[in-house]
Amino acid sequence: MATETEIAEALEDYRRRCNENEKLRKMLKGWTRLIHFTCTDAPVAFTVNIEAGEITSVSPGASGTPDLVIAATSEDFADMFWGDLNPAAKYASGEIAVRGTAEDVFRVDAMAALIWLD
Amino acid sequence: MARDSGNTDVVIVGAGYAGLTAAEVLIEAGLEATVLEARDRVGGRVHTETLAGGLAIDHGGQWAGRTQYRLTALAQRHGVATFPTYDEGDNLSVRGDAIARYKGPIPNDKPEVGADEIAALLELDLMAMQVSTEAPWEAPDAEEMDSITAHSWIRDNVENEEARHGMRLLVEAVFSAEPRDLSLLHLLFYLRSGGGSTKLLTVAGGAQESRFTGGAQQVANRIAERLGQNVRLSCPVERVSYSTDGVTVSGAGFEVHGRRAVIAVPPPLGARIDWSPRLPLDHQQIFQRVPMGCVIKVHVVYDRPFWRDAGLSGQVVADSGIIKVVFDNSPADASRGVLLAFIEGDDARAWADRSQADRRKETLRALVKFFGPAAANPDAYYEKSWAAEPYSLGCYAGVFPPGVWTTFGKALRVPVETVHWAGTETATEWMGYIDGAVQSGERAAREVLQALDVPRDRWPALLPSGEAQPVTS
Repeated sequence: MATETEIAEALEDYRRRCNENEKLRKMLKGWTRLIHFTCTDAPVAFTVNIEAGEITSVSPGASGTPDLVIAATSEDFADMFWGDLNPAAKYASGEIAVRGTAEDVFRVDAMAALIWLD
Repeated sequence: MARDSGNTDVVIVGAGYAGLTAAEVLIEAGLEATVLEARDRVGGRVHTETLAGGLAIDHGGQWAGRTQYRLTALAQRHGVATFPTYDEGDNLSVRGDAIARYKGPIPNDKPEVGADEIAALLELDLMAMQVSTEAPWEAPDAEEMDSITAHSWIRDNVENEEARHGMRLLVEAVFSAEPRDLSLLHLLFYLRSGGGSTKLLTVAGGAQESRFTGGAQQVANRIAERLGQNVRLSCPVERVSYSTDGVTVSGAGFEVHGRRAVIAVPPPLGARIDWSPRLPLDHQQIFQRVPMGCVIKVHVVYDRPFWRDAGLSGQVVADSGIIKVVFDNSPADASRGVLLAFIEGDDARAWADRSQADRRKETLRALVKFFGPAAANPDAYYEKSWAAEPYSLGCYAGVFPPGVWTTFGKALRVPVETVHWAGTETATEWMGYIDGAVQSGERAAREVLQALDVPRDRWPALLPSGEAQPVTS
């Protein structure tokens, strides 16, 4: 199990890599969403703001009304944000669950796949 | 005069998954149905050959995915178990002579190429959300999207040349046809009908997730067993005479009269039937203008799945050569090693009329390149060229070239007097897949129940569908 601090560090790294990835920025241009990452094995959550394709804030806790809710184990989140885990299979198998509109889910799928390539 | 003449409520042409599902629904609702099948077996484009020793080889459709709800329910109902497609270890990405290992649906040996492919697939998935599967011709810009091919879109929208090639291969793998063969609108429709590119391309959670114990024809066989004498094999239909009063379906030595008919064959086979009176133009055009994909499915059997020792999944995506897509198709207990290799699209067209010995040699050469010298000496080699099957004319499904959806799409499922249409090409969910065939058969059967005023309380419950499921990934 990963601690809140470990996930926060991984998420900060993920934020940096997403924002530096030009292909991803282009792909998500105009996309503004509030995302909740919710751990399934610990009372830990993070709120991530994406504004016009850029991750503008990451804060602990689930605040605001999310457009998307992504649920996974703390370990999977940490591994995914560090880029050590290819989430495609876990997405597909439902171990990482995403709730939102189909369009948003497609974007999150692509985000995850693209970061994994790095 | 036909020797053997009979009456029934509904005559069904074709004992593939569409026709069998239709028959099952109708009979459950208390009607009589007769299924006329040209071959000496049921299953249509799903064909399992069981070898001495019990090894089941699926020459045709073979996979079930968890979001293929209808097929999954049908298999459960008939007691056919599934097991996961082998998906452990590394996949291989082959570019020319370079071979790289990767995990997941998109090779990451060249990140800039993979990134362009992911971006293109996302763009297509988002465009597909504007395409209704019930009425793709109503999408914004439908005419424009139906006037260009998938090839043109890839050429104009994917920057990286290798990514363009990769996208062409993905289309080839999904349709067993070339991107120039189908309209952009059809590609978008297809993505939407299967729930997006990730679902179409992946093993876990996707369309290639599970296989059937004993082979995919098992479910069809069980339905046919239940239907008993209502399924008549080796009865190729030659003529359909229809009117508002009923329909007569006949061939050499048989003739069946029904109140309604369900035609559950691929579109090009519809053109081989002698229709009386002639069909409305839209249907004639659909028969002429929806050609079948072209695939040769090859199975190579070894004494054991030796590639697993090297940490390989057996899955390959290659950019050139006769074999561009490979899967591990060993039995669940791994008592033998079986590689499934696809010869698709242009490759199938180029190799279909060559000798089997030539194809075998070239296929083994490819497998040796991927998996090493141990691949050179298999115990057995099997292949099925679907274009050579007179009662399929190709696989996996009919592909819609430019102009078909927007000009004739509206007629696709519209009954003509007493004649109803089924087959995976008429499905709105998972068109081209077994699940789509099941959906189409159920839909056509319910049209018949409606038309014949069968009281609603006699209609069997609908099979589960994607529409009832929450939107999650």
